[in-house]
Amino acid sequence: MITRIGARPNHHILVVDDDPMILRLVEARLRDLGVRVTSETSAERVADLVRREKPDLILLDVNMPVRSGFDIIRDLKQDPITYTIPVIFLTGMDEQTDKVKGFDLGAVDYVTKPFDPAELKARVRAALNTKDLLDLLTNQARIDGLTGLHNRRYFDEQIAVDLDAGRRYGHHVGLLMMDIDHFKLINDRFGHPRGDQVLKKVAAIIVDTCRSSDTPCRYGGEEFAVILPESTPERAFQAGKRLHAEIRDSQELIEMLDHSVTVSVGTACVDPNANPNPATLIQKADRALYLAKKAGRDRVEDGYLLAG
Amino acid sequence: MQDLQLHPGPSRLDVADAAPLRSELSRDPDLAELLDLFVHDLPDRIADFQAAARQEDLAHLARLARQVRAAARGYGFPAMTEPAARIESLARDPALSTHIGEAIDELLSLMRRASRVTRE
Repeated sequence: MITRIGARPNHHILVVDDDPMILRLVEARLRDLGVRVTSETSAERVADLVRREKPDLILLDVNMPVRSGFDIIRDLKQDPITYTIPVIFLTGMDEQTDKVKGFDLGAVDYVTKPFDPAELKARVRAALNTKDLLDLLTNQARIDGLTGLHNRRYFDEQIAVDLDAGRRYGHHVGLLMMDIDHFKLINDRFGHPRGDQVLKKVAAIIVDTCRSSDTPCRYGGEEFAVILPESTPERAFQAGKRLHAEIRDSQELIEMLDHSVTVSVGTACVDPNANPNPATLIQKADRALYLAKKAGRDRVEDGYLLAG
Repeated sequence: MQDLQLHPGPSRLDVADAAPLRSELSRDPDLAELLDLFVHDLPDRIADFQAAARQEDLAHLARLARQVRAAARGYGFPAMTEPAARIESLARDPALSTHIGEAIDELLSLMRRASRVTRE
């Protein structure tokens, strides 16, 4: 896969300045970069907007009434959802201390007002290039090399983010834990290369079966996990049943091994009002998976019904 | 507060006789629409300056001047930058603020001349 680096149409830049005169000017000057630019004049609305839209870059005015750009960047850098979004400060020509303070608070660059259009575009392009490269590195560090799914490290980060969002917006969060039955026997009988093919195919089925908002991960070895944000106990259980059936009925897997591949699945779901943490949810799904295996494998157990 | 010696009414410069101030970027196709908006908004900005001057609201004057200083060059009116910077600087120092009236007159005169361009 070729990863494109640099300004492109799906890049979203948010410009925050209390003066519409400046916003209009910045938007006009960035137009020929071919990026999507949105603007906001209210400092109070920025945090929610950034959380919701997750722009690729924020151009942030330092001097705004009510809340300064410094107040805003402090909030953004403390929020796990927004802390990686790069910020370029828009600052006055002679405000040297502002520039230094901006860097100290986590800004990647600054543009002085009045700004030169070519310089503004160059700095925006440079920030987007850096962001793309960092995203690439971050993604590579969080992706399982064999299956292309997210790895355990990403899972640990994402489940905390999804639970936090669930608490904030009042949504249940579901989790599937899944183990390929008798995987050791597959490796022993057909060899590890075939075992790897099975893992890759199972991963592909998981991706095809999940919603785009779900997060499928390779949890380790032949174990997979899927985080289901905005779910319900019933939907989590149904998702487990669907996945179980898709893998068992896969003709491609049957042709690989001359028999069906079966999986054991544990599902769980937590109520945001119960103040859940990642360990609680994982423990419930893991316990359900254990019961599915103990009951003879090739089945789905609903951990939501378990006590504790 | 000391008397700021403001001249918030018509400028001492005879505006009627002064030539309209055209943007240096008036031929930039990317800015055509924005320049119209900028010029269209100038009478309101002038009124804002006059109101802040009447109320001797130095903080607001500094903010208004900062906005003009930040934007004027980008809209092709670099001449506005210097008096705007002077207002901002004087407004932040109460000891010097008695001299602010002259700078305001100068800036508002330029803004009035710029605002006349589209009326012709």
